[in-house]
Amino acid sequence: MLFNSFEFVLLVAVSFAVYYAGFLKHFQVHTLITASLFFYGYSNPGLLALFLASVVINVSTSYLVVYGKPERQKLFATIGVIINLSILAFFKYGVLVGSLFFNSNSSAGSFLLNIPLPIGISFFTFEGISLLIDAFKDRKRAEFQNLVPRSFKTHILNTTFFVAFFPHLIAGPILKAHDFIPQIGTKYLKQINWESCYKNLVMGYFLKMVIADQISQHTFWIQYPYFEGHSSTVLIAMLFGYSMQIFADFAGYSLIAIGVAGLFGYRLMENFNFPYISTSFSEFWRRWHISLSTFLKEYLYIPLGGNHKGKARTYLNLIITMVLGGLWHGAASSYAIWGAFHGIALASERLLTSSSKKQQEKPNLVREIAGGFIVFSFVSLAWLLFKLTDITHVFKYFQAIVNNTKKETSSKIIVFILIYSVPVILYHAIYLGKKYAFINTALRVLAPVAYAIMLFMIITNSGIGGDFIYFQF
Amino acid sequence: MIRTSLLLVAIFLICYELLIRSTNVWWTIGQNQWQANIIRANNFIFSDHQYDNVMVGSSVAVKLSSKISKDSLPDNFYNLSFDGLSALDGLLILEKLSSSPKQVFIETNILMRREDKIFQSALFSPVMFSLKRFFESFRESHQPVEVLARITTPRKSHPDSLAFEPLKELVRDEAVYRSMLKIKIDKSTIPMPEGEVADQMGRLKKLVTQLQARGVQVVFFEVPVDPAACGLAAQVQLRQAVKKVFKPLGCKFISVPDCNGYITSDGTHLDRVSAYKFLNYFRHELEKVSSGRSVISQL
Repeated sequence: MLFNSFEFVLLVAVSFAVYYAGFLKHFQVHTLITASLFFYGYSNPGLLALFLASVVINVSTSYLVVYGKPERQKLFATIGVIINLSILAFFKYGVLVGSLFFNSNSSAGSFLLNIPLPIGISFFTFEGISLLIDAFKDRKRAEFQNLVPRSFKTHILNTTFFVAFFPHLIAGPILKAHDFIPQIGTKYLKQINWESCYKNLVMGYFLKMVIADQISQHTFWIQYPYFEGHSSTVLIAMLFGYSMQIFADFAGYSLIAIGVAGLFGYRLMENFNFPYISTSFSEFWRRWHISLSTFLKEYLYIPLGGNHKGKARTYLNLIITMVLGGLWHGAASSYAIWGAFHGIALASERLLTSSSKKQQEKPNLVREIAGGFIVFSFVSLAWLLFKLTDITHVFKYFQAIVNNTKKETSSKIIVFILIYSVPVILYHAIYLGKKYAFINTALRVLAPVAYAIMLFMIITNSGIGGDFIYFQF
Repeated sequence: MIRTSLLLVAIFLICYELLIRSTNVWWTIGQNQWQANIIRANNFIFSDHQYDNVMVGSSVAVKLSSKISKDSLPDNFYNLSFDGLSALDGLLILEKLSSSPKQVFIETNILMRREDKIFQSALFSPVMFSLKRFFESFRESHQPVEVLARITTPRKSHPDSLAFEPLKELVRDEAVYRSMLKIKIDKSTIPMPEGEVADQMGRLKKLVTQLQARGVQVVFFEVPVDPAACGLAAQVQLRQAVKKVFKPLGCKFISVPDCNGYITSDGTHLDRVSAYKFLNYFRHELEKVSSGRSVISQL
């Protein structure tokens, strides 16, 4: 079920009405679990079996991690993490293993190649891992009762709700148990921050339906062999457009998720913080897909040793973390290469800044603009590995950029990409301008008009109601 | 803040609707292929005009009316074909509208695509369908960004709105042509699974018999493709399946002419010179079909 579908609006409306009905206030979590399971199984009810199996594993192992025999708690946590990773590996990488190591006509090859990819598996598996690790790490803390209560029944409800809550279920933000579970409790209509929900929903739907869905029809041509027919200028414009599209699509999804969760009284973490203003790669990863980058930092980079085991090990840890982060997106070498590029960029940046001690220098506008340009260009070029998962096509795309200088340029594609990129650029520019008081005043006064224009555009100027890009991950 | 904002939205919508209705100088053809499809469908769905002839098909059939002089097509004709989709989508629109033209022409070149559910729901979603029927500002043809982008271009002088004269020479990108042709040949050399073909024929049959029940004459036709791709296994298999299923139902057929006389831009789509050539042939065969002189079964 898509966030931009009529069915979803209906589901939210019905769930909202039932959720806040006074006589059902003790069943609020039950209501949202039911709505979430309906949401997940709407298109393919068969997927519910896997999802529920994953929930059962996480419920039981996390409970045993806390209330099992002390000498076995670590073992239970390890088993739980391994099972989660095995499920993820089987469904996500089975096809890759099948294509690399088996003949497609053999029974094993045929079996592996036909494994379906359950939607949202990367997200709910990571959330399960977060629960287990948080439970193990914090099991001796006093406030821990919030995470894994003694009552097994309450634990079942809390854990199922934590993993299943439909606004974040399919494409995040990836929740961490210690952030979400303590929020579970009775909610009241009067507690809703309507203005915040309205702003998140309007901005989210605007970014998705007006910007991303419109640009997607022009970046559609980044497909082999279609792109070969376009001029170098159009090819570069499409890369720029895809950079805008992927931000608008994913940030839009995250804002909608935050807005919908807010209607039910829950706070999800911000997933994007104006990433395209970043002047360094490390800053970019503090602003882009924050829930994934913090997850990787907390649960992978730091356990690997982080930056506490010497320079060489720090660089290696960065690259390993980013390669695995790349592979989290999908079973294709292009994702690993994308991760490796970012890992190398992060490591190189760390090497350069530590050797020249540039961190200690005063901010320099020219350097910041140059840094911003380099980071944005690099990030945008790397997105091509997301769009073209066959690496040979990526090379052909770059070849076409070099060779197609004399082909006729389609001004239509360029014009529309630029038009629809303006709001994304403005979105970032306004954020930069917030340090000036007059801009803040103007924003406050003009906010109703700005949100009215966005809502008007959602109604009159939306594009194709397609999937969110991150649904495939 | 929310109340003010919603009030402003209502004012914007009313003003825009009035503006759209008060002038006909604003015009659009769609910002992209998807919107062009939606606009073509909406123009048919919300039209009061009753068309005698409707063509349904894929981009192969779209090329038969895109930038082509109107008099190259039969009278009172609507091309309900869509880029990237197939005849199934056009037929579903006819089904949902219970439309009964005299003749429906089904292009068979790309017949194995299933209907596009996103496209269909964009046309017939319960809320938006009713809104679009009564409020023109809700239709894709009046999206503000494109209206603004085209406002400086008078309708009559814009090349996209003009019928084109036949070209005298071939204009195509040879590198793209070779790549696309190779992909087409690679894909069509092996026959498709029989079960899949039978399933698709079943879906088509249901829609065709509904049309026939409303007194519509159904005519199948195939557009020539690149000579190198004309006799490939999958193409031949599809021709035979169509003939086997629909000939006993009393459907008529316009056979594919010799592909050797036709040039495509990418192995699949006719270039404009060849589109005119095929339309001449199509009209000629259509006269025979309409007069009942011939039912060509070579398809």
